[in-house]
Amino acid sequence: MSTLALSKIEEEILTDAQEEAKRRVEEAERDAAAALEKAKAEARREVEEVKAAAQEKIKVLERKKLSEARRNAAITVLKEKNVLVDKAFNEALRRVKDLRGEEVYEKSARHLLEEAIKRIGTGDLKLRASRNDRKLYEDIVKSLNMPAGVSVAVEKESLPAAGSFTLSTADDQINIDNTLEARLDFATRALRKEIAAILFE
Amino acid sequence: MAVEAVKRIRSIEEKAQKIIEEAEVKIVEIRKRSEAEAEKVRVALVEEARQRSEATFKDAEAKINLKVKEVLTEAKGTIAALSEKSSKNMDKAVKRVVSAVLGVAI
Repeated sequence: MSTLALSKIEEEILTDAQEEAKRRVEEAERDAAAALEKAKAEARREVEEVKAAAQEKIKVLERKKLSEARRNAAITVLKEKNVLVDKAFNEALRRVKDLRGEEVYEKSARHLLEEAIKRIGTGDLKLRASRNDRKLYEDIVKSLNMPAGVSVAVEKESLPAAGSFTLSTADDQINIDNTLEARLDFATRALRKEIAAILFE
Repeated sequence: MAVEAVKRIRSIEEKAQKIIEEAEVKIVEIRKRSEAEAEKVRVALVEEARQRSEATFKDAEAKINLKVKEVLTEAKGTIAALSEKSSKNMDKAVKRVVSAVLGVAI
């Protein structure tokens, strides 16, 4: 083999190796660029997920806080309404007590007693009046035209009530509680809606 | 001469092999660098998004708190209106209860 031929072979081998090395490096660089793009795409997807999660968290928080606030506000308003309605009933009791000694109070006492007698209908009845109204009921009983078969005795023992009376049969089987407290209690239950409507109309 | 030629060719083949091996080392470095860069980009993007989301969340939370305040203010307004109405109508309501308790009109 001539020296020239040998040199040519040497050159070809080195050139092939360099070309192969260059091809491999370029391929690796292309792969690297592709991998980077892929990583960026994955990162963008992750970013979207992070954003979506944050938006969802915000929605949940808004729903929770607003519904809680609306519920608390509604409860507060309702409580305040109840306070104002209770105030009307408490004021009514105070006003009823203030009416004692006035004509309307006596008219009421007479009316309530007549009505209670009518409801029981017959027999010897026992009336227990509150300490403040005992005298009033004694006078009313004396002046009432009792229906046939009815008698009413005012008991000496007074009721621990703000006013008015209870009426019962001799055997205590029937008892009508017309004390102011009982009537106010009944009114509170029966008229609560109506009073609220009057107050807030 | 033939022996000498074989020796020269073997030597040149070794050089060629070395060129390929150096390229392979470079390729490994390229891959490592690429992986590191990809991870760096991913972390940076996600971290930036996380920080932006946190800021967005804080903004939203402040807006929600304002809305909550509005609800409470509205309730206070409703209560004030109810209180005013009840003051105006209290006498009528009390008279209605008094009548019911006494059993006669007043």
